[in-house]
Amino acid sequence: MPIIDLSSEVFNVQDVLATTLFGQSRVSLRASRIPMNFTSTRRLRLINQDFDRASLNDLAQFDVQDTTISQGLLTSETVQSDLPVIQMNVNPNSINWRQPKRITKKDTQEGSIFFHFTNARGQNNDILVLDFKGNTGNINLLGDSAPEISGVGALGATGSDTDAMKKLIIWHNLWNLTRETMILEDNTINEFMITYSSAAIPLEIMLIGFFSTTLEWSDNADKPNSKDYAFSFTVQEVIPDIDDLVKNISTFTSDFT
Amino acid sequence: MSIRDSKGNLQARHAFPAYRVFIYGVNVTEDVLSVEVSYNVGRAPNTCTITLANELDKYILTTPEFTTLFGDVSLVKQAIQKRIKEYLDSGVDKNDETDLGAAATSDIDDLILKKIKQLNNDIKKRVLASKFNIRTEVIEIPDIAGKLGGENVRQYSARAYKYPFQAEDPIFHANDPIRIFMRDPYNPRKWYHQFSGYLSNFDDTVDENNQRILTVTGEGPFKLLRYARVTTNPAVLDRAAIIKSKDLDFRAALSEGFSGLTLPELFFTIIFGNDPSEEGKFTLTDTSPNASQVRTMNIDAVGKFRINGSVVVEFGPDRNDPLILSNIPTANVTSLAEYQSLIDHEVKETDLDDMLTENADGNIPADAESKKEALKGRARIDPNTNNIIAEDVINIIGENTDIYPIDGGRLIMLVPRSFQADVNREVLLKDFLDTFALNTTQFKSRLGIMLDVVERIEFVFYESPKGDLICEFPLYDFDPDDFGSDATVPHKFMKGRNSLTLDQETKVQRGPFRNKYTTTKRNTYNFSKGITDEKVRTQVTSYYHPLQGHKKPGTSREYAAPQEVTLEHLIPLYWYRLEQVPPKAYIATNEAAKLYAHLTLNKMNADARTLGINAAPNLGAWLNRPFYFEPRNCIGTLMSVSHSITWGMGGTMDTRLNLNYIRGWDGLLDDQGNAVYTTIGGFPGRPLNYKLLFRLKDDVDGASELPAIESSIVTEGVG
Repeated sequence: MPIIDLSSEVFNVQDVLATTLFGQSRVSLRASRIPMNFTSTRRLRLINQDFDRASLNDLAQFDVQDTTISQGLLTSETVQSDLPVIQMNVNPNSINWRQPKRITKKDTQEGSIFFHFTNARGQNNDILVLDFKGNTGNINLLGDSAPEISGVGALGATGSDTDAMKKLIIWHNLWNLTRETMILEDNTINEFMITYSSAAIPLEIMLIGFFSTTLEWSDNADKPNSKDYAFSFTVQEVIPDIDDLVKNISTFTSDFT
Repeated sequence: MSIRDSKGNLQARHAFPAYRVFIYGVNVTEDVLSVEVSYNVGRAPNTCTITLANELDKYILTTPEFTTLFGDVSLVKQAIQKRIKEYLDSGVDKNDETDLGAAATSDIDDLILKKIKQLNNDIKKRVLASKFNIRTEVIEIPDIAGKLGGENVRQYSARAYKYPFQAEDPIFHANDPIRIFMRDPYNPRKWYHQFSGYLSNFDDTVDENNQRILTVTGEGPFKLLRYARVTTNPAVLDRAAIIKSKDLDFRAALSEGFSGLTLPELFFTIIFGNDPSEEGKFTLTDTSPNASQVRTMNIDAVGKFRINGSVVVEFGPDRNDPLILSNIPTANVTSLAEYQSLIDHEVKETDLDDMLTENADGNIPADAESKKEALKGRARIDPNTNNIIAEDVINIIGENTDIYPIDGGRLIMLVPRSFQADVNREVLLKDFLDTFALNTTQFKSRLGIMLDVVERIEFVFYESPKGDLICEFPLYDFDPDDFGSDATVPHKFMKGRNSLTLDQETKVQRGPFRNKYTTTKRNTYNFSKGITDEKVRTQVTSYYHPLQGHKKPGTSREYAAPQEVTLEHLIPLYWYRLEQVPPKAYIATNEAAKLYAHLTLNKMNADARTLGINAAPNLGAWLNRPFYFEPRNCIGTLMSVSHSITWGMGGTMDTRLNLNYIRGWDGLLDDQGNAVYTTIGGFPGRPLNYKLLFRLKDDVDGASELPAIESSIVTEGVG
């Protein structure tokens, strides 16, 4: 199985989705950072108006070459519109996985009954919810030269390029994403997708679901150049299936070593 | 807290609730948030309440969808233009509008179906596709032009849609079939039929947060009988039958055409109809002495109830005064466990054969048989039992309402084989119909007639969770032990054999039933036991009603003398509490009047002590069964049962049981040292004891040997 070049920092949507879906995912056994991606059905339709859930299984028809979102390619046009895929410049610094059990304890006059509400596989797991916490990184535009974005770099920045503008735009896109419509104009459901990888899950996976909170953040004087934020995401589906993760990871690591 | 309770059971145990819900043959289980089924003895029907998550109006035909499917005028135009062109091109008679219209209708249907298939939601797609084009035959609409103010209204004829749709209404309709199955939470391999009925009501709610819930309620197959009216006025159907010499007889004939039928004859006739040509399912024969008036009448059947398997089950020792059951199928059982195996509601592979629909002549249609076999061929097999797994049996029955119709249940009647010689059997089986007040026969609800009958004689008539119609004599004098402690090979009745056969081919077992009619502390959440003094009566008088005319009433002293029953043993505590009960219908003898007084007294005192239990799930609980309640060491009779499941986090599963006819323990033991449960005051507190009356105690598995002194009291009481 081919190993994707981890040194590359430029990934496009197709890479991200295709590798995740087809099991050729990037792995993060090394310390290299893999940026998280956030998107939705609505945003992917900005790239391909015919995109629907089924398209996830047939990415060959998904032409995204011109919509690469990566370092240095933020243009004045993309600033003005929604990013089809929000690739994090600074990944969230804390992601908490929560999946309670669907168990109800009912006391009888002599003992207790534990009701397990199971799915078709006999599992009594409740819905998986991820709590994200993060920091925007430096979004002080005064310190950002950002010369390639017309009018932005002219804020008087003379220092080094901090990508502040890009981080700010990405963060605002993320905020908007958490507030996005759940039902699209054609009455289909707007699904939200996150690609994710970490040392615990070295195989990059895709989480499909919806935001259970909009992005919460605080303007704190203690952190004038960056902002802390948090949101929760309810997961409806994990690709590959979360029950198969260990099998996939084993495959990857055996190929990797 | 210790890990095990006083009986060595683990204090903490698992339960795995699950259900399957089918509406109109569509599995809607995934959207069910909660489900509740209720069964009742009495006039209340079995009901179910299903709460459905209706996200994105998935069960509502929305206005945009409606507009797309049905409101598009261009559909009509396209279809008609296409046909007109074809007609013009073919040179057929241009005035032949009938053909033109029918063809256009067909084209429109095709176009609508095409649009239905484009819907996103599979359930909506499936339901609409199978409903939208079902039409009746042409109906002539009455001409009311100029008569009711409608000058511009013209007579027209049209075909009505069986399932009319309106925008923003649910995709389901009244009387759509509903089946509910529940899994034994303690044994995930076992499933039970829990409800079979028709959709009745909707409640479509949308809250301020756009949360959409559709609540659906359904009623059991009694619904058919409730709305099906019947009359047997012989003045209309058979004038010769009303020519009598006595005026009183004449009046009786007019007022109740079913008079004279035995209880089984009446029930079979009302449900399966009477076809004198003998081509239908059921025909009354002339062996019933009083059936002649009804025998020659054509009485329509109601629903598709199966006569295959319908049977009068007789229980107890040989009768000395045979019932006349004409050609009604009968069979004997030797134990109540055997009887219960006949009507048990656990899902088994044999249900696929036993529940298959039948034609108007009682035979199974060939296409139904072949479809069933095809479905069985595709089903999954349980490697442990080599039978089709319960879930697949459920899916086949739930989804294929054409071969497993809701009204395809059986009529099962449990009657005692013997009444004591000194008891007037006729008062129980014949003289039950109201003959008062009216000079003409009314159209009556079939269900109403049957319930009137069973109420008077204290029998019960109810719907089983599987959809069978069950009529039984009261079992409040029996014990859970009488239903056996071991599993039994199921018995079934085959049409024409007049006997039950062991269903040994399938090697399935049913039961044991005793433990299902018992609740221990371990299975009890909470309970409430009430004793209401006001409901206790100690003395009842009745008298026989001589107005029927064809029996000799005797002297006025004879027929006017009230027949009295007094519970002497209760007088010291409750004093004399006299109730006079004029019979609802005529009663032919003083003995019958006394028996009627006994029955009435039993009924009155039944509700003096009641018990309501919120229990852990017990899907085997069954109406009209003796039920032992350990926490209060008593036995009652189940009058209503409900099961509810609320799904998911915080959800639960409960069984609610309501009992009356409570019997406690007053220290009496049988010769084996088992407690004997009696009404308050002991056996004399309820001298009419069915278990003793029918001499059933020697024939019941595990029955307690009752003290001789009690038997003598009973004999005295009814003599």
